[in-house]
Amino acid sequence: METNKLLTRENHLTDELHGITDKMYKGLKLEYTEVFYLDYDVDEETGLINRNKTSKHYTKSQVDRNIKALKNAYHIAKGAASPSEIINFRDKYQISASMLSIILGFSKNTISNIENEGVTSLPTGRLIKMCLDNKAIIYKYIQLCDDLDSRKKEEISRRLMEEIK
Amino acid sequence: MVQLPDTPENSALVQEFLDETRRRISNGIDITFTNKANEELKDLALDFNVEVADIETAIENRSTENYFRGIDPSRKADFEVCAFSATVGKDNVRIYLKFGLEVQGLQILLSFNHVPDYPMNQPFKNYQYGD
Repeated sequence: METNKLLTRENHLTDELHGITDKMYKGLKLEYTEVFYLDYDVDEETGLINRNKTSKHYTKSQVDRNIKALKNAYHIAKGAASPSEIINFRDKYQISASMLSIILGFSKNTISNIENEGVTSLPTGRLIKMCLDNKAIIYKYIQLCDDLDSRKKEEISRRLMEEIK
Repeated sequence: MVQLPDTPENSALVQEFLDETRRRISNGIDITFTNKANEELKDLALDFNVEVADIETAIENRSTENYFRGIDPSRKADFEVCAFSATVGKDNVRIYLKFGLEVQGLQILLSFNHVPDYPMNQPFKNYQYGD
């Protein structure tokens, strides 16, 4: 995988780095991957650059991504489905992201957005988790879905029911 | 970090700092976060749903009235550093906001954005020059 490059304060190209980090919040250990880069440390009191020491720095976009990852970790810790769980489920039963969105009653891109950016709402994440963990619920939603033709309904239902048997 | 006394000259110094901050942001310079600022924003994000954009807006909207401490008049440092009081997010959370402007470059470096540990006096607040 190609590494993202960033410019340091002195305009030198540097790699975007990744590291697993954790944070305790309301008794939960939230673990996720954070992105950052290294640049010379700045003393926050004096404003002097220490060219003998580097420390973690974050661009605005990196902070944005890290906050999303943190919130996603929090939602998962509180019972929401993780993006990888959703992807595994879809792969196993050969359901496209847009089709799963429609079956669950979301707009077409919801599942795809969650898979790419993480769960943004705890109730949504929990509903998805409940459906992934209980195929009888998702089977029922398939039967009730107005946007799938009967052939498609039968096809997906068969794949799900094979597993249940 | 020193707190500049309330004089027209010092107010002009803070205004100059804020004007330069806004100029850099409007020219497309993004704010850089130190490790501490990144850690603190995590707490604000989880507790109050504060986002990066809220911090950027707070920085852009500072006025001399929000000044708390900073700016070394000797100007010998690599960064001019200044601290302000700000309210952010939908809950209007009051925070201590400290950032620096690189003197020989263009970086805007945010070092603190946290709920203050003690009341912050704002020496330039309600000061009307020439009135």
